[in-house]
Amino acid sequence: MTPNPLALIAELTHRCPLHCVYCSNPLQMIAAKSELSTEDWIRVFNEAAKLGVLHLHLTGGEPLARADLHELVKAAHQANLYINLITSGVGLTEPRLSTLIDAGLDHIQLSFQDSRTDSANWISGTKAHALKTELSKIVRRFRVAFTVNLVVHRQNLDHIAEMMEFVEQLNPDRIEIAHAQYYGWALENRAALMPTPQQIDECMRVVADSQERMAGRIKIDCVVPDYYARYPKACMGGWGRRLLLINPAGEVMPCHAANVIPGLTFDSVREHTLDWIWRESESFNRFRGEAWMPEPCRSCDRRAEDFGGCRCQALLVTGNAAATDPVCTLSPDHFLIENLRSAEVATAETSAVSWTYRPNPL
Amino acid sequence: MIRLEGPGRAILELCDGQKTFADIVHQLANQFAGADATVISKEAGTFLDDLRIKRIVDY
Repeated sequence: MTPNPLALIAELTHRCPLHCVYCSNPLQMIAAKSELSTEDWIRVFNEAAKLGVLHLHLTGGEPLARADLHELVKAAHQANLYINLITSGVGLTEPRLSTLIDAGLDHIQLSFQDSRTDSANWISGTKAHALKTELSKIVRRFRVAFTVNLVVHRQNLDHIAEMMEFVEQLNPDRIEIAHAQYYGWALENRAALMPTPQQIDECMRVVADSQERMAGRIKIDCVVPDYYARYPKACMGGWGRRLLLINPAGEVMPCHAANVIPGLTFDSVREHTLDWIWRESESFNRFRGEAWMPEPCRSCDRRAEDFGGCRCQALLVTGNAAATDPVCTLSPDHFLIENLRSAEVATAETSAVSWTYRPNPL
Repeated sequence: MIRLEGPGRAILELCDGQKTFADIVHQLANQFAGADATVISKEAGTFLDDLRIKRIVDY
């Protein structure tokens, strides 16, 4: 029996004023002219609510790049969805924030690239850091839930304690310390982003200390990054189980990276109802349930917890989307992850950082 | 996302930004006739404190 999805990730656009080197958008981005219309998105939100979705994430690219954003928020609110805006903050003035909150925005998640201006602007390829800091003060004057998302990796983890203090004084309700995940542009730049084992240890220590210090005031979420984990993440809560993603052109995907899997085609909301796509489409059914699982997953006690890990990661590292996620220490391909880790970290000392900035699709 | 079970939903629904904790315990005692108010107070208190740590409620 197919469970109902709980959350919809709506990539409203791939346009973005930032060029973050860790961006997980696909390398082939959707052009502005192919984006869904306001009416399309409103219909989609209503279908999602009917399908059981409770939680809507408005993201991109930069969702603020959509001039109709307040109309989308209003429609989603009327459909009784809990609305989270995942944003860089660029384009968010106080009047615009006020309009969005009046329209029904429940939660805002603001990204930070570092505590230090120069480093933050270097990582995002944009002079956005000062603006984000100012915006945090403005957000606190409004009645809206506020999460700060700090993306960490080898280029900033050397000063994690300083960054934690910095985000703490922005006074959010929640802090996400998000280790870069290797999809899209982050995969291109993995060699420069991969942390050292020492950085991981220090990060987990600082997070544990901070959680104690901020308990009851700020919630801190941080998970050990994939390549250093013992078991894989329950990616998306399982394939086609809890979450669905719609890209700017209206293609519905089980996750943001699924286009790397060969032989999968994604159905569009321009042609099908969300209900049909969720229940009947080939892509959503491909890795549902346990029939597709190889050993060791098929007889593993953890299979109902992590669902064999991430299909896209299995594809990207082993070449086989149906393989056990090689992040799992029980995977016969786990050595590939160990090799990648040591190779990337070995080059850390000796090479200057050379990476690719995410461009803005026209 | 959290999933509420049993009295959890009843407790959370009473959190309206106006009621005091005593008000909530009083209402729950009415709703769950036969339950001991001391037990309600202790369990609701623990439940709400858990939610506060998760930053789901404030008081």
